[in-house]
Amino acid sequence: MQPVEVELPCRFRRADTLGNHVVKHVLDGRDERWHKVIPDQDISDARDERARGEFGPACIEVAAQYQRLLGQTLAQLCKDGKSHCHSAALSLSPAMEVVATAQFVEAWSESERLFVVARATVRNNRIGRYYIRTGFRPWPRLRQKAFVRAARERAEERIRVRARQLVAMHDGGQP
Amino acid sequence: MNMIPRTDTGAKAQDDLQRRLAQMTIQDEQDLLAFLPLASRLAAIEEGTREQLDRWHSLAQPFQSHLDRILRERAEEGVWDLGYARGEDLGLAVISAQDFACFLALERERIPTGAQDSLAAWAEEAEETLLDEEAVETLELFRRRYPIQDRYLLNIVRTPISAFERAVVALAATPRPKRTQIVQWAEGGSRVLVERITEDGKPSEELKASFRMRDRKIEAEGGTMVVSADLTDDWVVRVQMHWADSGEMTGVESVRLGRHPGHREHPKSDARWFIRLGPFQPDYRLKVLREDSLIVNRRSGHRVEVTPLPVEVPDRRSVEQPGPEPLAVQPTVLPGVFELAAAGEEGYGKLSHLSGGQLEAATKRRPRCIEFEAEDRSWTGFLRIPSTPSAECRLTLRLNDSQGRPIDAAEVVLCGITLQVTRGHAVVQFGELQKAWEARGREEFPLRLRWAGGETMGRVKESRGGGPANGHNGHGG
Repeated sequence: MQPVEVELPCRFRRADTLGNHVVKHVLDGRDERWHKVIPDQDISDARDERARGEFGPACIEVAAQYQRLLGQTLAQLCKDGKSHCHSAALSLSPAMEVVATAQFVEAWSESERLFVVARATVRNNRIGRYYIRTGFRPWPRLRQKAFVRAARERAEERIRVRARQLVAMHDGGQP
Repeated sequence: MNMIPRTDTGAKAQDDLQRRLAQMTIQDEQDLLAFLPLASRLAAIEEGTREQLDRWHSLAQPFQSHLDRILRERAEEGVWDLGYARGEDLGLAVISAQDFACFLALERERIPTGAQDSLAAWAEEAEETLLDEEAVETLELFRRRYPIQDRYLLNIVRTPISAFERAVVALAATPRPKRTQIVQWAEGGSRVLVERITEDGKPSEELKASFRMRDRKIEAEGGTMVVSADLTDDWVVRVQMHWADSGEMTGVESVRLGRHPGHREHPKSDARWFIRLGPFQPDYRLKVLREDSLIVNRRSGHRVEVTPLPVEVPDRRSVEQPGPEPLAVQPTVLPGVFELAAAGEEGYGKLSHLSGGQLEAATKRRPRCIEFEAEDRSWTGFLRIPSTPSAECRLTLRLNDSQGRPIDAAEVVLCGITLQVTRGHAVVQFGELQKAWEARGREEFPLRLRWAGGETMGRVKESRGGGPANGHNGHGG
């Protein structure tokens, strides 16, 4: 299977999934330091709204910024051919042949300290559109080299545990 | 772009690890940190190989001086991950902790002491992580793919369980479900207790005879129980039990008469118990003897409730004309035990359950009302008590005149606490009321009202409706 790069626009498949991830990582996850990439005031307003049990305009604004940031970062890394890897989920066809059912891209941005995962469905060897699955800012205290090691380790481990096929590694380092 | 050939799954996961490790070159400390977990996992797998792991110490030579710091920082990173990662990433964070736990177990002697402590703390942290469903699924996949030897496994990886499942297990574990078997005091008979005043304060022979239960055979789980109960001269109820076929009674967890606990006569024997009624008021003792069930709780979860037949209590609501004297038709309303008429339902609890800060949990979880009425029936009132009141909880007393209109501009003294009534409402704090009631020895609950209609005393009204009267239904069992 050939690696297929992510292109803009790239977004979450469903609005409620986006909402869940915004709440999980940006609004509730207080140690991901999102204020470095999304205006602090916007996050603060959204958190106030959330504290009132609402998901209103401020939350929607933060969600839009979050989705835009993830999509742009992912597409840019793919375009530059760095800091990302491609893997494929495999399955057995009725004819007992190993076929790819999805292609995943996991990307990490050293500058934004962002980790993004996207997935595209594969049918009959034709790859569909990429949708973002998650995006977060892990390990805020790590130095740059440590961050790169941790991100790559995480991507590889996910591929190993999920028994996916590593299709391509684009990070300029060891394979 | 580097194209990597596809790796196989399942049993070949080890080959994948071998190949990956063989490809690795250690140029800096981050490379070493990427190498260590995989090499440790490979060595910990059943029939795994230590070949790669044995290399680590020589590979780490260039960083030997700050190996301690490198590992401590890696442990800190791992602990952060455990605290903040979610879903699949949380599962992967636990897997990292597992890899380094293997490293610690396999290479403890060669790891600097400070780093040992950090890695051990990381593993401890991992053990206490609350997993979500996705993390559990990830760990299950990991276990299936990498058969690590049991002795190296963290418990959380060996048996991953989500926080939700953990709560379900905890709920299922306790309390043990009870199976209650209700039998009557005497087959085909009832406990009809009559007391005569005796000069020496001892129970009369008639009372003792009518209470006595002799060799009551009960077909219980595990055989036929034979139960006997007697009232002694010093107001102690003695209970004896044995199995009809095998003799000595075993497996009894507790015995009680109503809510009065039984004590073992011999600490190691389940056969003989006693319940002290001596400290209570004579009429209250009589009420307990007459109305309360004898309950035998067994460790198996089986419970036998030996209950007297209900005693009929006249229903004052059915009396259209006021009777000559209400007290005359309230033989069961005794000092210290007040009937609580339940709001909008039949059945009742007991005010005595107020002690300890809350209504007994076994009663139905609904608000309860204590109903009052004036001696001359010029007004009525009720105090609503939530099912689990706290000391700060504010209770509202409502007072209406005989026409059902709210009483305004009145002063009410409830259990010694003076309250102002406005538009039929007065508010009292539960904790304050409870203290006042306990200060009066739980024997009085008087309500005095001063209003335009004059000053009258009130009392707790008789239980509403027939309902499941008489004791055992009022306080669980």
